[in-house]
Amino acid sequence: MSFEVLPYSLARVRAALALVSQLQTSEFPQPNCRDGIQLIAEMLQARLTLAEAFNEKTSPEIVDTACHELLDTLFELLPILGFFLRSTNVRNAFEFHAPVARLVRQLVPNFKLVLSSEWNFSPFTYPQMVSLPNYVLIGLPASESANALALPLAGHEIGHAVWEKESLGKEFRPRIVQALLKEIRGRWDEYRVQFPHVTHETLEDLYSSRTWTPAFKWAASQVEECFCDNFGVRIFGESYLHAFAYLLAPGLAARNPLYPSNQRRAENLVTASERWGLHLPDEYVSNFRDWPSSLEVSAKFLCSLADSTANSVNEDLLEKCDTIATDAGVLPQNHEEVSNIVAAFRKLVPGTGARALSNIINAGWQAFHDPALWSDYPHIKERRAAVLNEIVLKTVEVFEIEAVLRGE
Amino acid sequence: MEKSRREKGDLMPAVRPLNPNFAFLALKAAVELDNIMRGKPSGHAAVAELANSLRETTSEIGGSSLTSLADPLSADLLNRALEQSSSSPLGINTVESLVRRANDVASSLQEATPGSGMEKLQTLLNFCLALSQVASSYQQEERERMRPQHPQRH
Repeated sequence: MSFEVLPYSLARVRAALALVSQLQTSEFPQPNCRDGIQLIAEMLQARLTLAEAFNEKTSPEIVDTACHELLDTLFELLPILGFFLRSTNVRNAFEFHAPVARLVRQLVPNFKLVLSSEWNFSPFTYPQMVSLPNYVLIGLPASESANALALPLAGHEIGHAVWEKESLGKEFRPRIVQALLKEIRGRWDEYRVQFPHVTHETLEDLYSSRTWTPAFKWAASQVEECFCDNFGVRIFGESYLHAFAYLLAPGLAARNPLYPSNQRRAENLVTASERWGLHLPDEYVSNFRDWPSSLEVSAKFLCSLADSTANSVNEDLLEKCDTIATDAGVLPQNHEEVSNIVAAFRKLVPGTGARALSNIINAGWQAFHDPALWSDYPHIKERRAAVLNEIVLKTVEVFEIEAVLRGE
Repeated sequence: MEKSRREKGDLMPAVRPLNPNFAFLALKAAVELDNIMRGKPSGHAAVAELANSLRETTSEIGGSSLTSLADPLSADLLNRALEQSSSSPLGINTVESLVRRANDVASSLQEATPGSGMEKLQTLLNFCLALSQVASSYQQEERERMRPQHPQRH
């Protein structure tokens, strides 16, 4: 029995288009979802039209490449359709949407936000690399998607959109290359052990550059992730550190070179907190751990080069975060306002008069860490976390109503 | 209102390994070249757009060393596509030679007609296919970075 790839490929795309048609008949509380699904339909249809025109005279290499591209497109787009569908689920805290959308409009105007949830224990975004330009798709883990205190992690994801909108990759890439090459030259003996055929003269040749391209990719990725962590601290203040620790401490064992190590990320968050005058949780860094790397020797060496390279630009990233957020009018954490909201929470009423979403979430975290909170209300004690979440969400609603009344 | 092509992600200002739809643009250009070779009526839009992307990229690469590059990955992508589509080693070792070669390809794409000669058209077609394949693999790597399959993705 044999098979031909093209009919299978066409059938797969037609099946995806049928699914898209079904989704288009669904109700979406976030209108951006409907527009996004339409874009996906157009992308799939364009590919189907191209492939349907193939015949026996079409070059087999073209058919092969088209089938590959079609498959890749399905891998790319199907998760996004699922993401849109899950955005309708009532497990999500819809109270977040309008305030986060306003934040996104401030920072990345013309980008469309979709908040949803994921069946992966990891908040994430689908940034510009996907085929939906100008979309910010933020997903929280399904088990945390109603947790107001996890919301600051969206700050990291908004950071990816800012990174793209501000073309920071383009701005930082030359600096990363230069820092990496400096690092290599500074560790030349170690480098030659791994790559004995490379000389000082040929280090920057295209051929030799392939020896350090993996380190460049890792460093560039780490720099973007560091920026996004710093950005999360800038726009969500201390609550970012709490949410980050809540979700990820002590960190998983496997080292992914595309990200800074667990401890390095925690150290960077501490540095960012100090820069913006925030209170640090006690022994923050020591609650994160790195385990012995399972990378092979050469990869381990390249990873260490990437780590040093990424560290070398962190100060510039902090500066960039501050400038972008300040220029966009994003207020830093206001300790007085946070205290006022905490005082309201103690009385079991929503806070009012907040000027920034971050202050509400920070108040939520302060209340969360207050052992005396509601100690006079024994009937609440057992469901303290749920009540706190409700009161934070209610405060977010009040914040939104006040913003609308102010004409924002 | 009709969305612009850029809004739909159809336009590529420059060859970027991670640019969405780039692999599809290169594939469409290959199909147009195939049509030209077979004497089939065909548009030239994708070929022209790809040529513009290449020009844009080489103007961004600009300098003569990797330290002057805006994006070493773009250089790597172009180099790999050129190597993959060539039957013999090209020996492109410097950024200058890569820029020169990519500009030659961009010019050839802009001038591609039935009169360009089958061999030249086939070379261009092979390049477009290689570019599509390499861009796809880059895109896949990036997808794996940005999506949460990896447990440490945050």
